[in-house]
Amino acid sequence: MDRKLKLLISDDSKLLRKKLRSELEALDCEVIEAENGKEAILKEMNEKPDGVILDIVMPEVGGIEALQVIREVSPEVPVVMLSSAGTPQKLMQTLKMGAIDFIQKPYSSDQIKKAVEQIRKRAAKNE
Amino acid sequence: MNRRYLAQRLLNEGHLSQKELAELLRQRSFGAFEKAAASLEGTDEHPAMTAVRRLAGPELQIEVEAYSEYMELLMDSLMDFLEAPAVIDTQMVPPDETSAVFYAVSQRMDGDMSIVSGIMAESREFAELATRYSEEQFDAPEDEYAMDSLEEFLNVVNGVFSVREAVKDEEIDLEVPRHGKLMNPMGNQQLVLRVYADFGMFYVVLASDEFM
Repeated sequence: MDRKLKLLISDDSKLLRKKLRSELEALDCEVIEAENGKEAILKEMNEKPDGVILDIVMPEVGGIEALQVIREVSPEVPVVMLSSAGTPQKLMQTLKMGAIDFIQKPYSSDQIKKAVEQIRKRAAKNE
Repeated sequence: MNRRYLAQRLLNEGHLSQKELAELLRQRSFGAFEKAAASLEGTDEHPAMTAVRRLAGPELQIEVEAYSEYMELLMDSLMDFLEAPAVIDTQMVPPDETSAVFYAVSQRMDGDMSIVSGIMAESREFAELATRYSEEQFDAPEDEYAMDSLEEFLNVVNGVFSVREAVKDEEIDLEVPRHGKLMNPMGNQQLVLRVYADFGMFYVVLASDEFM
């Protein structure tokens, strides 16, 4: 890819979005933010990101519902779950639904870097 | 046994008073805990759990195991994520002590068991907790990111708790954290604990339903 990777991050924590934005921008990504699942669905449809990083516990529409809709609307878009709710059941459920990875909070920079690389590879294939 | 566990044991077994403990934590004089440890007999690998078990009355017979496991995780997390050595006070918190207005965050965990956990603190201690978790400087809880920081800390701790419970086939889901000002938390099956850390004192509230 010879352009910046465009990523949508959805988390109700403004602080987490700020920190994650900073890390993703350092990895040469363009970042769009959503503060809940409903906003994530709308922004995914309107902004057409290359990938989505999605929290699970969010107000209005949660991450699992948002994942389901995004997979239906844009099945080719890679989604990485980033959540504190990393029980084996949630992990299996979201991977079965099509998420490509699940990062348990608190995350490390290496985990984010790896997720970005996975999304970059998928996005390159989709082009 | 690490120094914080030693401090909890020394308090549990009456070798240190609250005042002495608070002062040693404030000065981060951990060597003093090791010196005093010579007076300890027997072993206790889970002194935080012991403290909670002693504070929980017979009315919390069902909840006490979950509450004590939760508190051990929270105390470990304060050290791991905030570098804040902390110890649970062994004295009950009288209701009138929490009748002032505190800054608070809480989160409900629901499913095979129902627990709401929360942290309440006065302005300075709340800002310090938020500062340490986020590694950003907050001078007051009203800072737009300060509440967010402590909500996220609680969310991360509760996420780890839910994973540990899942291993025991107890499925619990996290709800969205809440924040605000709180006086007199009023939950069912409630336990209010006073926690001393190196930067001051705050409260942890555990209940079976929302207390904010």
